[in-house]
Amino acid sequence: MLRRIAAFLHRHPGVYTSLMIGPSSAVLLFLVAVPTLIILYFSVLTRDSSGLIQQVLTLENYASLWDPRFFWVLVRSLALALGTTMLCFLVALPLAYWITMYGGRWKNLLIFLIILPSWTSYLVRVYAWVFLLRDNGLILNTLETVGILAPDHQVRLLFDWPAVLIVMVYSYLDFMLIPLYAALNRLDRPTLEAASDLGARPLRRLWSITLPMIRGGILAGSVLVFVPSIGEFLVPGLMGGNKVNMAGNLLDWAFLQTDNWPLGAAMAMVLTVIILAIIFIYLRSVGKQGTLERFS
Amino acid sequence: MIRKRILSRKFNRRQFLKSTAAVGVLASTLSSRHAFVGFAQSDMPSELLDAVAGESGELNIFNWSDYIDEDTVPQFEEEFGITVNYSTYEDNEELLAAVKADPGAFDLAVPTQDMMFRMRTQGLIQTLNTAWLTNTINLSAQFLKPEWDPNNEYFIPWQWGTTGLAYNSALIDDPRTAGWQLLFDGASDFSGRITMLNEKEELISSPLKFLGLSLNTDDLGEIGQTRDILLNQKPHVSAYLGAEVKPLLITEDVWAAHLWSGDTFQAQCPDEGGNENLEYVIPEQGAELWVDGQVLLTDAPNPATAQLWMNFSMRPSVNAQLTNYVFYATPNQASLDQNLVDEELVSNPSVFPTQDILDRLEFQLERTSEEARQLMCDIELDIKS
Amino acid sequence: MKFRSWTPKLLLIFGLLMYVFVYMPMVTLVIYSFNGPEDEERRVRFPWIYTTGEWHDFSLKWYKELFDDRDMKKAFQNSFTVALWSVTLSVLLGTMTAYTLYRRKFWGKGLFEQVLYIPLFMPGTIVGVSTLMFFRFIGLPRGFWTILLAHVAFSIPLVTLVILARMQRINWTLEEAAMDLGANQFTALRKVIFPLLRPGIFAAGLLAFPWSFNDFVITFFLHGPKYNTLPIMIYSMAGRSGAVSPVINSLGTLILVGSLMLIGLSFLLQGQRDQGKGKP
Repeated sequence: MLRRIAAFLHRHPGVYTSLMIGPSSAVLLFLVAVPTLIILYFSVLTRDSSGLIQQVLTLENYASLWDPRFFWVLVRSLALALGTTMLCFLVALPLAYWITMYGGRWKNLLIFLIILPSWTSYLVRVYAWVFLLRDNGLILNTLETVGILAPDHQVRLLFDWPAVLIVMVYSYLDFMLIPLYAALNRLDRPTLEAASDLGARPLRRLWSITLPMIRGGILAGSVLVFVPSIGEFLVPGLMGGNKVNMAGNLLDWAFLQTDNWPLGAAMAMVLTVIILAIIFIYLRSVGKQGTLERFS
Repeated sequence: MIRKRILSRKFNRRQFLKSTAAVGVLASTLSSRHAFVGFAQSDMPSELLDAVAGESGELNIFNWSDYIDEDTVPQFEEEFGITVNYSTYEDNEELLAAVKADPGAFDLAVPTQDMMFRMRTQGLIQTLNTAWLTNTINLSAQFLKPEWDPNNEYFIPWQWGTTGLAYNSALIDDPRTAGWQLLFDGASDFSGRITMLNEKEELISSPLKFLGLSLNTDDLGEIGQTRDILLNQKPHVSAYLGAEVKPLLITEDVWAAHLWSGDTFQAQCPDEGGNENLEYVIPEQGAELWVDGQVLLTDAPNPATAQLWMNFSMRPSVNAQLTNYVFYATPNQASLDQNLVDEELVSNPSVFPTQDILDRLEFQLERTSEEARQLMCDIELDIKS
Repeated sequence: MKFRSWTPKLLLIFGLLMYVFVYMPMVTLVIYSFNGPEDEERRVRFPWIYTTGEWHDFSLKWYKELFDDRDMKKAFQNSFTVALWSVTLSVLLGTMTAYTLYRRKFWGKGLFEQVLYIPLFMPGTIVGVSTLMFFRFIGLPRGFWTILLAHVAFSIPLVTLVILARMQRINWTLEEAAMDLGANQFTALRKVIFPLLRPGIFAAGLLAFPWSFNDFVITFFLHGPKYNTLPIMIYSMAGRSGAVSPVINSLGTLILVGSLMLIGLSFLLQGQRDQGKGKP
């Protein structure tokens, strides 16, 4: 029976292909495309004074986004998301490199140990950071005891952007580390060693030999970090004390706090377009072909 | 008879604190709660019980988190044979969003009075069968036929409280602790040590009260004045938080906070490891008074069971138990008359304000002016962006 | 020459610092899970106070409470069930998709690829809100199914990517050879390609499972009142008190210890297998 089916599918590759991608196409259609269209539709509806949504088409919601305050939140989100991505990269690269080169048979274990904390709830870990970063918390107290900070210092970490940045890097480090490690691990060690034997200076070697070879990993890692960080609302809310708000907080504000779904939908559309544009430009400029296949 | 004995054993927080033997008393109070079964059934009209019998035997409650005694739900389940699904939310807006997103998921919710108006306007709540709610007679005069629900047909009060100031008396020794000036005039002196509440209505009410204005004002000029006050204060505000500020008050990272009464007492509670230096003040200029009440949702699958719960919650013993646990004030006069509420709470004017304090307090009513609401959203955006 | 002598040391120090960074919150979590009242039987009104800083007494109270906590068990079970199903489905569909994308040409392939990765480029908030609107539109009440479907939709692109990456390193002539030798495409897939893909599938699962298990943002919009996952429960417990309940810390500790043991075990087993094979 199976043999007959196989033969049939061999003769009709189109059917085979449809069967293989049919289910995921359906999932994408109904859970990505249709919901996006619904958001698009909501973004042009009117909200009346009592908070009810009327089926009256308008571009009002988009117009009200033209506001310097939204603009600055957007700029802040981009800055923090880019900062998170770059810090993740700067931190994950040496770590991944060290593990690949010197990890030996413990390589995989070392990687696992980094990922492991992400198996316990993200929320629990974020709340733990509140207590590490607070004014009388472990980190500032230790720095004071060691003498790095003067006893009367005015350094504050919590409820400001450093805390947001630290915890976002903490949260998304895995997403950068895994692709980088995978890419580095794929390189054969002799290539890397040969480069150093040729007397290439370390930074130059990194820049001109190693980085181009792991470009796929860098691309994947940066996109995987950038996207969730730009939409993040829990970390800026909690670590930024609802002062250092990002685009995700505004979505939360529009949808949940002010109950203005059309405005929220318009924000979501604008944000999606901006993110897609950034990623498109990024992949275009770094990847040669600009298609997403470059990822791997 | 049985009831008397339970009353006399009711634990008092101070005794509990002072003597370790009180733990035993507590345990026996817990185990004797089964004695409630049977005696109180009479306060439920048979018609209501019949209607309940025709429903699924489940009840979906949506309430604020940390807002109920651990024993209340088991007590209800045991007495009436109902399974309670208890879910929680953190603020009124979250409640509204959840109820709209999922009609029919919950039977009853516990919005604050001003949210109740919005829910009513949006058709999210339905009228109650007042004939079933026999325990309404236990309510205090203030909550019987209040202006926001003149016929007691939408809103059954759960607990009430005030929004004021919490501060650490060991760290702040300043005459400005008497009122809002601590958070506004004093902001630069305690820069980075103060927090404000996160919710828009609360956030804007405090400068209004600071200015001596009504928090229900629709005057755009008056509301507009709060923008400058809040923006001037913003650089010195450590964070805009809800009740999440409690641990930071305990650890003394935050010295003064704009906070609700009961939450301050929770953080103060020394027998639980709280910070005894915390004080709660109802500001001299006046403050916001609020009441959270139970409403029956429009698509409630079990409307009768929900009203059974409401009537249950108005039993003097049940509501007193809530107050003793969450440290907010009971709207139930009978609980007070029967001395079911801890003495320490009753005698504390911050929990049960005296009449002259009450005169300075104000309930937030429905804001009818759309312009005023827009302006408040706009001010909030200034703070949050 | 000089470079090679100090680089490894510098990297080592940096690496160790990174482990400190990653484990700092975990350590506080473990420590505070043992912080409680001396009398373990004592009823505590506000357990969160025990996670806020001050050390009280060593106590196993929270571990005891964890095992008695009906709601917590339910939430854990729910999270686990959702994650398991989501990983199973998305790995299955993702592998099929990756295989087709890599090996076949079909009409609309370009468009399909673009759409496939869109969920990865959409912040969770937007995914959550938009799928919520969709589920309301078709009248599916929030609960297990809404969470699962959204998680699958989000995991498929992730899984597909990881497996595509693996496919680029497979020697595909093996498949052709197998088929030349008379195997049908199913057999070739199962006997030849699947074993080669296994590390990729494993890696994909390892990414997707914790993601789904711990997802807060999307689930926040899609969970029903009767279907809480663990992160949602933690959020509502912590939200009003500002600190995580120590019971959650004890659960976190158990998960940490459990996964450490699991990984230790798998490395031991692998070590033995490697020894059996001789040097890898």
